[in-house]
Amino acid sequence: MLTNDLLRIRRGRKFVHAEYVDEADPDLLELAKALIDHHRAAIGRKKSFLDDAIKDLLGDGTDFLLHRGLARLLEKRCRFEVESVLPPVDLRRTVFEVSTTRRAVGGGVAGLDRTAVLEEAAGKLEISPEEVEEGLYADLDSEQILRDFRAYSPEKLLQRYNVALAQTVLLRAHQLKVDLPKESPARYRQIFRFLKFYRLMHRLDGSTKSGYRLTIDGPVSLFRYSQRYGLQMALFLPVLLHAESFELEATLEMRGGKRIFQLSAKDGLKTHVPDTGTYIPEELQRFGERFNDKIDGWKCEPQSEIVDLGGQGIFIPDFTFTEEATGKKVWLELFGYWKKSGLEERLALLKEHAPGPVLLGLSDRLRVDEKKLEELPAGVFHYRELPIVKEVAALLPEALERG
Amino acid sequence: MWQLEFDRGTIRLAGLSDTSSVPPACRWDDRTQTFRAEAHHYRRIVEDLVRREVPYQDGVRDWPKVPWRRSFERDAFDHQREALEAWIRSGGRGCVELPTGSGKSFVGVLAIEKIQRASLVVVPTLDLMQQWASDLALMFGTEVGVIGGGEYEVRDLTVTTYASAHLHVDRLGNRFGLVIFDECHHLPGPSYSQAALGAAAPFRLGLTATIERQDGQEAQLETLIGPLVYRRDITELAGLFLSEYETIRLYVELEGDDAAAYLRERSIYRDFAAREGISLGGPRGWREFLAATNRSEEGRRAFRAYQEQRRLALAAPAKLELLEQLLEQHAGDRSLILPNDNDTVYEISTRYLGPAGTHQTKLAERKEIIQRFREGEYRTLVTAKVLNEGVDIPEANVAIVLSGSGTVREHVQRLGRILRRRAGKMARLYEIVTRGTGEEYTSEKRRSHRAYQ
Repeated sequence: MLTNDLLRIRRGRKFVHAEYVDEADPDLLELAKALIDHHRAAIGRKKSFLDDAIKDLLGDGTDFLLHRGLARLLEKRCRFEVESVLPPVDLRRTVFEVSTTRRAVGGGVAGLDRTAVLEEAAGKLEISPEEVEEGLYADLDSEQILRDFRAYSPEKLLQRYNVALAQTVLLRAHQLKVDLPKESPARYRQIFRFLKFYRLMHRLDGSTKSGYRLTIDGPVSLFRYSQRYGLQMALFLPVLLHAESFELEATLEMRGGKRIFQLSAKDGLKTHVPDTGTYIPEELQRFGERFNDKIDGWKCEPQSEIVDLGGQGIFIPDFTFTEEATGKKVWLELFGYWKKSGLEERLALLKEHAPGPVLLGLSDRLRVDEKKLEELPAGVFHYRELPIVKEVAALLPEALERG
Repeated sequence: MWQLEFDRGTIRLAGLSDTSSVPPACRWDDRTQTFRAEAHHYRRIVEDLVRREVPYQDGVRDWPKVPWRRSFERDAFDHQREALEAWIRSGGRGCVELPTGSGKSFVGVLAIEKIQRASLVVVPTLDLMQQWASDLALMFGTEVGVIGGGEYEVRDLTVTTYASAHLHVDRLGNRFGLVIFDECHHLPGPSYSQAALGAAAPFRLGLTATIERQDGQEAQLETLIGPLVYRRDITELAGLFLSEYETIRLYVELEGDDAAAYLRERSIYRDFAAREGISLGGPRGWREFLAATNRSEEGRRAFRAYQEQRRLALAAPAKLELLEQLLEQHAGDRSLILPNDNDTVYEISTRYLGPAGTHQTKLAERKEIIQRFREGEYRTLVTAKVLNEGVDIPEANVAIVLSGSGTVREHVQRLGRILRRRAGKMARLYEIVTRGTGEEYTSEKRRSHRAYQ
């Protein structure tokens, strides 16, 4: 993410457009490479040296916002260290004590004899006067030494820049509307998990056929336009970028009034965060086929609708079972990583908000904590590698009875 | 039965049975299928439910009653007692305006003792945070939590900064029954005001020396804290509380190459503005100038010229010579040296090997430096903006302003710091100004405030 002063946007009356860079522009790639090389060359030097070198490289050009933005992203990949024989704060204490005493004894003039002050301090600290002078403010940002730089490739830097730019725009957002026409349940779950992680609230509209629309903001948004969730929204963006197709519309608060910012999968931003928690074993996908082969009277369909659980979560069944005689439905949700407390919370939510009978399958392999459930609540079962078709089928009639 | 819960800066009201009993300031939230209100309405909601005898379960209030007792006696001055009484008459909600140095924070202490609830104090700077924390610890003989400057410790008495408070209000907004906003003119504004809007505290006290803000947002304080309940002017209290002081303005000239460079850089940016048809003195002049400097290389150069001439005027070498003379003259005094920017702070500190503080100075060292300055182990202290507001250094009796940004408030507060009440103290404020530059104008503007007259 960039800071507000490095934002590059065009403002219209209604819309705001981020000035993305062309990730294949040869001139820009060359500049990116030069910036990266300057960082590499500055390893072992002071930060002020690196800053000056970058300033010289960039000159008086009008693209300084872009250039500084790129430099900022690289700075985050740097590790600086204080270099001093003794901690600078200890050097300062001794030097200031000595200078205060000398000034008091000898009057103003003697107190200003720097060499004498430095020598006396050095004597007390048992190091050389030069080491005292060099270390005195070695902990200031500009004086610290670049020790380590985790370089990006020039291409990666430009990709990273475009995402950072969109994130910076979102810092001013007070609401996001996101359309997700068709994603896998695993993807939906990942998205909702991160919404919860970033403490955002959502409203869910739509259906499997029409696609889903998410309206994202926070508790206070009910009362006032608030940018306080902007940071959480910006952090959420890289997760959303994993979606196959999405359309995002952010309402922004800008000087001069409200503006709209749009972003979709077509913009081609490439996320830098790893895609976690969406893996589904292939065998699981074949569970449905095997069920339909072996079990009569029930039909099994994978991945159906999303059910909103009172704004506090969602329910995305992995499988829907329909009793052929009556058309009645039972849903199955498989719980991957789970904790006892999380499970209890889940059961309470499902009890209150689920539209019908639900079976919960708990993976033994993926249990996170050591706490076991003393007694399995009705409709909850364990499985090892995969749920067993016959076991699941046996649970269906009683689930229907419970309603 | 209504169930009230604190939810990230708001209050969620669940368990609705009868829509006619919905309290004021509440709205339906279809995301959670509950009613909801901003947390600062907590008191209004509860008062309404109690008045109408509607049964409710309060899951919001998470602040303990604490029998705060001051561990040693100290008589309050008349104005401090009157301020507290006025605040109590207003139901424990309101702002008090008292000049710097008249013991505002003691009014806060009295309020904490009166209300007997877990209390939070919000202050503008890390130095003030440190000062309040040690004052309260001493006053109540208890440990005090601090949130800010890399520390996070919540206790029944906690001090934090405006910058931290609005970030943590989602989690801590129901943890304190009393919130004191010190230098409360900082509170209005979209971010910081969240610290008040998202807090459920029924009791609120604002303390300030100058309630007027240049953008007129003081009206907001009434919603965020409460009405202005008490105010005393500096002229009503001077003599009684504040030590006598005098201000002396000294001029330096730019010399030789610097003078030539100043004139050259100045004409570069002014000519550029003229060519672009921008009137720099006009109301939108500065913004138009900034925008124009972004559009061409010539503009970039003009911007650099602006910065350079400003730097020359602010950091005229002759100022350092004069500073040296003043320090010699005041070798036996406790002097604060106040340049405009951090580069100059470090230049002076390195040159004269004297202690300095900026935003880069870590909390522990900052505390130590101020402590040693107060005890006389250090006799000079160089700082730019960090210590600007309200920090208590009554031992200082000389302040040397090397240049300033000229907003009125900053200088009233700067003055306040060396004007603390102390027997037989004659404080002195020097201003060193570069003749024939924009600084002269700034200094005139600064003097127009009544504290200087």
